Amino acid sequence: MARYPITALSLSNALGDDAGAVIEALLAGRSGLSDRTAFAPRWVGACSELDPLPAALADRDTRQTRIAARAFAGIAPAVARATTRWGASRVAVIIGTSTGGIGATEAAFESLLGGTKVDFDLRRHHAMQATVEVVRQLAGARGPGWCISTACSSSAKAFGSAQRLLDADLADAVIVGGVDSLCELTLRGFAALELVAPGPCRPFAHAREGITIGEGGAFALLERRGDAAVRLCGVGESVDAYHMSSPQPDGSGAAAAMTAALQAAGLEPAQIGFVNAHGTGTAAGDAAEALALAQLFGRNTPVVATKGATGHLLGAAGATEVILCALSLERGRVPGSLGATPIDPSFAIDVVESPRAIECDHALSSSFAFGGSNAAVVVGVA
Amino acid sequence: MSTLYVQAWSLWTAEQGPPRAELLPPAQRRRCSLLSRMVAEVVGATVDAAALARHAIVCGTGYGEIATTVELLAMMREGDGLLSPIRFAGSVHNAPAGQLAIAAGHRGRSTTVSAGAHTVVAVWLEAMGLLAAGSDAVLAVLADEPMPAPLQPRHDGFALALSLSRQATAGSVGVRWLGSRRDAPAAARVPAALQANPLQSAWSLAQALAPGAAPQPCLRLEPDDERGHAHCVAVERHA
Repeated sequence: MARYPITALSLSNALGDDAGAVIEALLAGRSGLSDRTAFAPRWVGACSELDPLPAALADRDTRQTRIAARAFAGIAPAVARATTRWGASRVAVIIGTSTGGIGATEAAFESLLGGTKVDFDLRRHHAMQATVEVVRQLAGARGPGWCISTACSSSAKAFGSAQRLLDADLADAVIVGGVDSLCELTLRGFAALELVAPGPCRPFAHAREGITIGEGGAFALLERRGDAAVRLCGVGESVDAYHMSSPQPDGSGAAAAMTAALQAAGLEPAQIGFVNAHGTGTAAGDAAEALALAQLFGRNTPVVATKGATGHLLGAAGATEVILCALSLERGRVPGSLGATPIDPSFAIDVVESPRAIECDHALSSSFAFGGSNAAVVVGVA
Repeated sequence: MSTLYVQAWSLWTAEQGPPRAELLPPAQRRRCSLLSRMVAEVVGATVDAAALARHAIVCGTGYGEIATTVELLAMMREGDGLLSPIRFAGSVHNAPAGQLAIAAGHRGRSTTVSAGAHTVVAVWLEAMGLLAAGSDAVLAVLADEPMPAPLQPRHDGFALALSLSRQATAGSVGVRWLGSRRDAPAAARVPAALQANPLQSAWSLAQALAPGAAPQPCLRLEPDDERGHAHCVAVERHA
């Protein structure tokens, strides 16, 4: 496959409002997680106060689209250049999300039940496409746009769709990303599954107790040609066909996605300099992933889990971590895995505990989801 | 490459009665939402288990598991506000695809897309991308369940599955991608109960695929955009 350049990237989450702030905080070992009661009495990774959308987009103003707009701002100048270069109708938008605007529906639900008037429209506020429409408007993009919604692998899989659009010559540039926003329904849902940690999550730790839910947005601009420090090299996708909310315990579904990504990139495991693991901090999820990583990479490849600092960004996690891989490759330094120490001694992998200098050309990011949906993305220096 | 051939297809509408969804084992079926059973019904009527294994799956839905979501929102305001863990895990847009994979042991490529009134376009482009990338066949599945109260606008549900490949075979129908067209003809009227369904162009596509239907030189897959453009296909007959 072609290795498409990532000509711009952006991040916005609990660690910072832009990519620079996020990677600096991560490399400095800071956590974005906080004990906030605004959503529920639990730890979350919340964005800083969000600005309303510009007046022209006010009819789609939700927490979700505000996060999308903030994250998009980081790639806006490059997107403006790309729409001029390729033509607006050749610029597509593919966004991974799991929540969409469900937070807005939640807020309006009481009024809807009571039949009282409320500013809520299913298509403009609830529907996932509202996020895509806001990004298309901000970008001036007129190519096709849609959401991938496969829960926590959504925005990793968005890279696969974007790459196929470019390969099939259906677009020349793709704004690919992920956006998810905190809402009660997800917090309570994961709590009902007994998957939420009482404190900040601790991926790969012996004493891990579950996830911490976060929110945020991440965007990458993929172009057919262009100058870039980092390129998209390969995407692999697989399905467990095992259980709706638990991973296959032997990690074979996870390993299949990672193997497929390596094959698509034309690389051997030894050529991967580090892995940004899905690493959510659940007992079963981390154990299955550690088995898959041990089988593919042994102890030779550093593994970093960033959710201890960002929280689990659900549908936005994949794109966030692909971009963190790109930023680490650019800087020659990987962050530590906040909360991992002491690491589960049964894991036969090299979990990075504190920031480490690395010299390598490629990194892999993996994402796994409800419904047994797995994806892995390989990026490399150009 | 711009023509995909429909090898088999199946449409489920409410008039046919509750989906039997025999592809799902009974115990699994009882736990599944209507949407997941609708998907299993049309998939089972389009391909058998052996053929399913050769297909990459693209599911498209405007609102996903919306009845389950409304159920969860109602649970949040009642009593202790605790949610059902099974319902929560089943509320994701890819729940029908996940249930299908578990029932059929399908471990190949599978994705779920959502794009409001553009969902059919998204599914078609995903199918084209997957076939160009080397998948032998793509099972395109479009499904939205009835919109539950108190959400508006209400609409009926339906599901459509299409087995797509790049090669024409005896009896297959070619559907050629026309890209974005200005002044695309208006869509044929869909039943009133489907007019708010984001997948209504899939219903029109199914009508055009029916035996005896006239070829469609330009069938729109979405409403016009702000410039009066819409992505369209041509439905062509093949012997």
